[in-house]
Amino acid sequence: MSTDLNVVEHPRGQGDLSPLLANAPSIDFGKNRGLELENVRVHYCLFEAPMAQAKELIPPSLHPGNPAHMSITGYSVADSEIGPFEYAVIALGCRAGIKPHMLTLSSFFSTPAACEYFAENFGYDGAVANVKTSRFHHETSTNVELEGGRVILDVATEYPRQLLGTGQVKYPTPLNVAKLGDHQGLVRVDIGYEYRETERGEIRLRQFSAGDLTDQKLEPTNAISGASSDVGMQFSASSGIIDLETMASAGGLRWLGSK
Amino acid sequence: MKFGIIFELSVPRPFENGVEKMVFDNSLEQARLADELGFESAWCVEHHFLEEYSHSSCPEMFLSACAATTKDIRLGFGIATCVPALNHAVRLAERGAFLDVLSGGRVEFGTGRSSTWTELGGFGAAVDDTKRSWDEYVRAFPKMWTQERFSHEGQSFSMPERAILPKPVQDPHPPMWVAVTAPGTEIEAAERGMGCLLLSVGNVAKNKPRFDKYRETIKNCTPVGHTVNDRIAVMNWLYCDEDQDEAVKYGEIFINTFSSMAAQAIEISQAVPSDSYKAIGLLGNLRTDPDDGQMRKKVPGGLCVGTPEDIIQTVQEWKDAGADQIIFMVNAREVLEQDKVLKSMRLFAEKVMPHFEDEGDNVVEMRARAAG
Repeated sequence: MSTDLNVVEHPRGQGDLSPLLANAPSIDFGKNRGLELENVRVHYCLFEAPMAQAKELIPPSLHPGNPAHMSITGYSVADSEIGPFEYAVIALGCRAGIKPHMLTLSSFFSTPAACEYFAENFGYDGAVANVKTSRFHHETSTNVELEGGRVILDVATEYPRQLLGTGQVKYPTPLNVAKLGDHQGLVRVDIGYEYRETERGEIRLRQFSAGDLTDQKLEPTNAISGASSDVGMQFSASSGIIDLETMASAGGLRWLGSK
Repeated sequence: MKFGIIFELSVPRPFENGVEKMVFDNSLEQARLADELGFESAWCVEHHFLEEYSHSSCPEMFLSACAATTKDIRLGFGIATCVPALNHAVRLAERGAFLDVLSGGRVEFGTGRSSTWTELGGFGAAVDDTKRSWDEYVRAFPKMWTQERFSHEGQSFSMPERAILPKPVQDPHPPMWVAVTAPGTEIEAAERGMGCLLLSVGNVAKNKPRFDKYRETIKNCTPVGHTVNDRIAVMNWLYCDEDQDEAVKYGEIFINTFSSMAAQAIEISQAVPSDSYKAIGLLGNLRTDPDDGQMRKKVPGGLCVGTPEDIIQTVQEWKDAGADQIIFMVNAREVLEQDKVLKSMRLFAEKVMPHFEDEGDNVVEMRARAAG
């Protein structure tokens, strides 16, 4: 029987993400920056996903959650130093040891400036598209439309119900396949949140083009819950990177710089 | 101060044929030894779908096996999940009473509502309604156990008049407990005259105000049952060794393994934003930060890992804070060899328990019997 935490036999990912590194975003560590977003509407939709598909996508340094799960998140940023913008992220839930993370599978930004900033500073390998997250009284919706008008994502959280208090939504830390300084692997996107209000509702997935969003490798199954929140977001300058093969608990997580 | 043990029945991978049998057999051996050594209670949890962490989907069956092979130890049924999608209220009352009959009146009845999406989502349970159903269930159980016939029209379940059988041996019924993780649940336990079974162990000082508030509140409780259970039990982790380095080494492995397994499930608080699930469940306070190499090596405060002297000090702190019982997990995922677990339990009974014997306890005689 094992007596070393580093070899706890949780199911580990079997995905080989190394081919993605060749064209992955490169963050110039030391010159990279964080970002302060004062007013953001976050539309967070959580789904279950097939375990077999999840294992094929997650690298060996990570575990899938139990059950396997994925998120579709839309962000509408009222204003910022790079102007107003919207973005949407499709991600797969995973664990680095005990820590919940979301491994980015695809991302879409409404402006070239935002797309570039998020690539250079946080490692998002995004595309520019028509992205829109809108909150109404009957639903919050997130749409992604490619040039030419093809809608590849349309998800809504219906029958919203306001929750009491703040801080009810626990957003896992995003991970992006990227290079950070001289290192390459999974760059952590560390974000602080200031919660103001949250509505929860029922998810309706009206369009999910798996070919465009997950390279046909993952499809959502059971909807878990949708939440629409008014938050402030504080992105730290990226400094943490997880190896693709070695678990964080076994030394696979490296903090660059002073941390 | 009384002591108990609790079983999650956590199973190491790979899940080959026979591995669950090994875990169940080892756990039964631990229960037998606990009985012989004078531990007061053996608890078994109810969990579903939590691979590795807990394969204990039918706790009353495990406890029936314990009942058959032990003499004095009380049997903690639960935490029985008071959620209609998992258990009809009648089925929980029946199973609790059945075990009480079978064991000759040794049941402690723990109640709760689950804290993971893995479980509640798997059964299609309504996450927002679990507090409501729990409250309705705990008021119904004593009536089911004591009335000749029972009928009910409620929000979580309704039923025409029926005789709910068997009736428990204990008069009027088994003591009832509430699993307490989120701050404030201890108050709900006190208001209902139910025992506080604290699962979210933090440091001792942090919990003292909670215990004080519980004591204060229960004085004016409106009991859901026919008796008031005013005891506070604290779940804890036991690894006792004369050699401190060894104790800490194996204690860390044990605790880190448990934490790592527990973290693989999806908590409700991570999945479904809800007013009724704001706190992290499943013993979040135990989890040291895996990103912090130093923290990962530390045994969190308040846990019973160390030499007998270390553990006496920790138990005394819990006692001074107001706890009546400490209920120990003694292994996780079989990460400790069975011999080490049994040795740790024996050493605890020999060196620690005598410091906390109440008048009238006859644990010395029981230990002498165990020593053969």
